[in-house]
Amino acid sequence: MVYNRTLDGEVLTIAASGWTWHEIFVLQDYETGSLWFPGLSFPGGTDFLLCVAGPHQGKKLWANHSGRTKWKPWKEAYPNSLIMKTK
Amino acid sequence: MNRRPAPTILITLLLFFLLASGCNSTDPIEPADLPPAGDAPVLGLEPEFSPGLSNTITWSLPEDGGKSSRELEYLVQRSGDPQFAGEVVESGWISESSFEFTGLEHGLANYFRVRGRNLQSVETEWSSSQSSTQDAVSAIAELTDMKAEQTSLLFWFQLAATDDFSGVAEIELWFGLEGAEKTLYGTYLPGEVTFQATEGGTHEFVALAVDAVGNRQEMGAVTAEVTLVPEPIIIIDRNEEEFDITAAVLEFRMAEQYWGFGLGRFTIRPIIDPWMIGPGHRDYPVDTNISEILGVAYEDDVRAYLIGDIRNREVVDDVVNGTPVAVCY
Repeated sequence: MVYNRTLDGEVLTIAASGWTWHEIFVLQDYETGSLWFPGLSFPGGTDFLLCVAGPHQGKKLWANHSGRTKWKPWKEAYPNSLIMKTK
Repeated sequence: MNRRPAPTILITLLLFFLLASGCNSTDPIEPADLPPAGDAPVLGLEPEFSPGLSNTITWSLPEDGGKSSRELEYLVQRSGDPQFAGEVVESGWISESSFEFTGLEHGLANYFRVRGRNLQSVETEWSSSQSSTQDAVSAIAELTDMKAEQTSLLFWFQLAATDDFSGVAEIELWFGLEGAEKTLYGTYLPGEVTFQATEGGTHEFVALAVDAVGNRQEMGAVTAEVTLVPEPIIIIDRNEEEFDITAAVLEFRMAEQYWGFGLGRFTIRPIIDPWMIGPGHRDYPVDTNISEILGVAYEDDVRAYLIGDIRNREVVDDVVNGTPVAVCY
């Protein structure tokens, strides 16, 4: 999932918090230390990150459009796509 | 012969007596000839206490197998005195078999009795009397031992009530959260109440007593406002850092026992502002590569992230076409 990480005009740095809940990673924002959890994990939840603890408690970061696929069809659809290089 | 006048005197006296009796019988019909009114009506049983400031008295006629006239009118009396001495209020002769006395006084006992009369105005005896005390005032509830701040979702308090006359029947407990309209939470006998809260916030309670004749205390009579400040639920990670997950557990139902790992805030660092390469770079994947990727295409800015690379660091904080995004595994 890809989430918009601008909240009330402030850009958040999202990271793993080191915690999991039901084996799913609990995220945090470095700016306030608030904990965020994927909305899809809640009954009736959808594509957002929900702040479950901390100063932003109750707020949401909404998902942006993204797709999960293999490189081959992606490259065919977007021949000039960039790709992240980690090393 | 001197003894003869005696019978004459006796006869004369007898005649005189009969004539005198004849004068008394100017009433054309002897009472013995009138249809009897029969036995007195029987009042319905009165409760010890009657609600409000009025009381409707009812009665019936005992069965007599047709021996008496059943077409009766009735007269009902009310008095504050069991002997009906002093002030007595009367219904006047009525044909119904019930009568409502109004304007009664709270806390005072009233005695009632009724008698009937038939069409020939022959009256029955008075019925035996019944009494009832008016109770127009509700019981008063008390809500005690309630701490204004509670730290547990489960808390206790006491409900009590007093009533001068008919006695306390029950206490209604009304509850509303954070200014919401209060609804009936339950009815209780005086004593301890265990309250199970489901979340934090200002809990408003109202206790209303109901007495044995149904007089109900007015809304809003006894109110307690409690702010629930739950005891914080803290988990500690491997770096000894404490995390307050109270809201997550109580509001978002993320039960405490399913929290795990706690590796530390900065153990898994995100990739921030990642290095992106394009076609022509020597590390750019070949077109036939079938590795799994997560792709975004915001207008002309098209980017792919290998799932394996995201998984290692959990989050990539990137900016795509000017929009800051978090790419998550």
